[in-house]
Amino acid sequence: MSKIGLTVSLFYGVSGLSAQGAPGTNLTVDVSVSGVARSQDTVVVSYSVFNQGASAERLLALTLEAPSPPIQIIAPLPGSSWHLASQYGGRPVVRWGVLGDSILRPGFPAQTVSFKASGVLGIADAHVSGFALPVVEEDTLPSGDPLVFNSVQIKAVGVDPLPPGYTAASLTTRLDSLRSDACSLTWVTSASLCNTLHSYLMAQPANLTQFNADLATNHTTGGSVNDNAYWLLKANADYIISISPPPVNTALINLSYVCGNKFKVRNLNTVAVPLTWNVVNGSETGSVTVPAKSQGGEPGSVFITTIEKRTLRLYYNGQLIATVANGNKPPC
Amino acid sequence: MMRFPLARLLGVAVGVAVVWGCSEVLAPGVRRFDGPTGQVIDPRCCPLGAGSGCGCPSTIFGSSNGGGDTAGVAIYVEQALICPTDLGRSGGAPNHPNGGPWPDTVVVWVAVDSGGEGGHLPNRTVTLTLEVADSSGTGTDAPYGHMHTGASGFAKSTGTLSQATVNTGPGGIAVISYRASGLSGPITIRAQSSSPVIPNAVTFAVGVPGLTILAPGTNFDTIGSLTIHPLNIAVVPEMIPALGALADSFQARFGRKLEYNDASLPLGGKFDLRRQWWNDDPGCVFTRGNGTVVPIPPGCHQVHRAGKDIDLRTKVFNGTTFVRDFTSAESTLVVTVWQELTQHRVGVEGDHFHLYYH
Repeated sequence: MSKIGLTVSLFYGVSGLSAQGAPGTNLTVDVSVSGVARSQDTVVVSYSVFNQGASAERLLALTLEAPSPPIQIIAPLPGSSWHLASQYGGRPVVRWGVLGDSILRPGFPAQTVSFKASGVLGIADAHVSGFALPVVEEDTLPSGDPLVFNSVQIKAVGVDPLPPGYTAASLTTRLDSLRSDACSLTWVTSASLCNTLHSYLMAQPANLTQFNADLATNHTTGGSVNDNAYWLLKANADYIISISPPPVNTALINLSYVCGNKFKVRNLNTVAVPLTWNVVNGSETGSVTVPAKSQGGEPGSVFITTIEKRTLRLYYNGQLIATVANGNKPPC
Repeated sequence: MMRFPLARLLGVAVGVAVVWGCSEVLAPGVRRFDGPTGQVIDPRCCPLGAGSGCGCPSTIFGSSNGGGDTAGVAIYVEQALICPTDLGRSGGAPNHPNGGPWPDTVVVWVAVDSGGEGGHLPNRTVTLTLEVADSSGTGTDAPYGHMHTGASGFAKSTGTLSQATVNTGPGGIAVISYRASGLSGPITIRAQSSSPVIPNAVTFAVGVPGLTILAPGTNFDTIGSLTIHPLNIAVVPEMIPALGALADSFQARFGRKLEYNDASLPLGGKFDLRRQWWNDDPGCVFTRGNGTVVPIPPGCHQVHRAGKDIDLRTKVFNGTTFVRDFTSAESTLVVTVWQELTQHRVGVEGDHFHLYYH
């Protein structure tokens, strides 16, 4: 057995004196979302990974911090070219290790990788590690985590767990924060578009349909919305839309007089509608919630009985939607 | 883990008493040290085994030779085990039970004691000398794993005393310090005063405590044991599960075992690959990628001193016949899995991989 090594093999990607930075940091890798698929509360995110031609090192691993632990990690075939890991130092990550030097060398074709997790898209810390090993005899680097000292730190689209007690409104606030971050990261390069997208989210109710339409319009080759911003923002908007109750159409709410001081409210909306009422020239007020229409199409209904014989006014969100006079029939 | 009989551990008991000359009249009112004497130390048991029979005193350690009506030198050290110096690039010293890193320097108290009920005699001059055990591992140096003497006549480093000659002053006690060299091994400080005072000595250990010899595992072998350093794979215990898990991953992917080579000697310190102790050796060089040949000071194995570095063979053999180097896939798997398991890196050292655990 040879106890003294007098040679250093370039085969191992040894970091020579010509390297610009610490071993593992001499590469530029594009990590762009190429697709998002949602199924209930889980989401599959796919990425296009490309090691730029000017890089000095091949890719060793792409590691994505995973606040929502991965359910599945997927890499292209053959599987022998990849090492997949869901933990790094005991914490959850999504890690694609590239085995061998036949793929993701500088300038080589991009690879598509993906993972599945539960939650909604967010912005995650990611680490791009090149394959170059320090020479122990000359290694003066501080000891430490290779993800810190021997990797390039980037931001990427990841998956966050759904916040506890989330609502459509709270997720819309979160979406606006993501929009701001995407603009700061220059994933959206147009300041005016950033402002426009903000205004859609601030509207009451938020105009998510137009938000998505503007994203799509600007998500073109050379456009002001890159792949990461497009999928990050669109997927979140889509999710909010999916959990938001359908809008109430007040034209589908009918108020009629029945008898005595009794009125009937009918609702043909697919959601229950909270209403308030008062009487003309009187002090009586009240509130009711009219059930949604039934699966068979029957309107939901509720009765309102006043004390005094007066005209009844009905409001939705503070806006008057119906006024019906008391018909002076005997009590029923 | 391989064990040596206790009797071989620093077997020449601490407190070597040599009757030398005539008695000295006691000065009234002076008193002797109180403290432990004559303990046998097994530094491999420290700190976890301290107080459990291994003899790893945490209090001052040494003896006084004043007795009867004869004055003698008293010499004590602050603790019975200190670390070698220059562990920094090897991950540093382990934590000391009292907090902070285990020191590589120790306080030494020196006095000349009267016998009987007497105590320290003032204004006495004491001369101190250092002695290392260098018996090819056949004596008290056996547990440390250096089964050799220095090549080419190189002498084993002794470490340094802050003063070689002291005066005990009006208080009767001199306080100095000893700093270890980068080598592990037993150190003896001999102290003598003018005749007829009985000389004395204290022997203590320089080594990295708490290391464990890595035994072969299900999916890995251990290699590299040589006659001069038979116990070449001592590691910190917490590293062992990661070494097993790395080998398991490699076996699962490639169907072969890993082979771990040199880590540290049983008690750490400089792993002098070519028996040169701490000295530079023109034979220890490596070649940069651009072909430049540069020396490795001080001698081969730059690190490997604290049980937190281990070599991994990246050459595949069929018996003793070299077959091939690791494939690119094999190399990459080792690097990425080691990172995942330990959050530490892999380097190249000569013609093999070097797994850092720091």
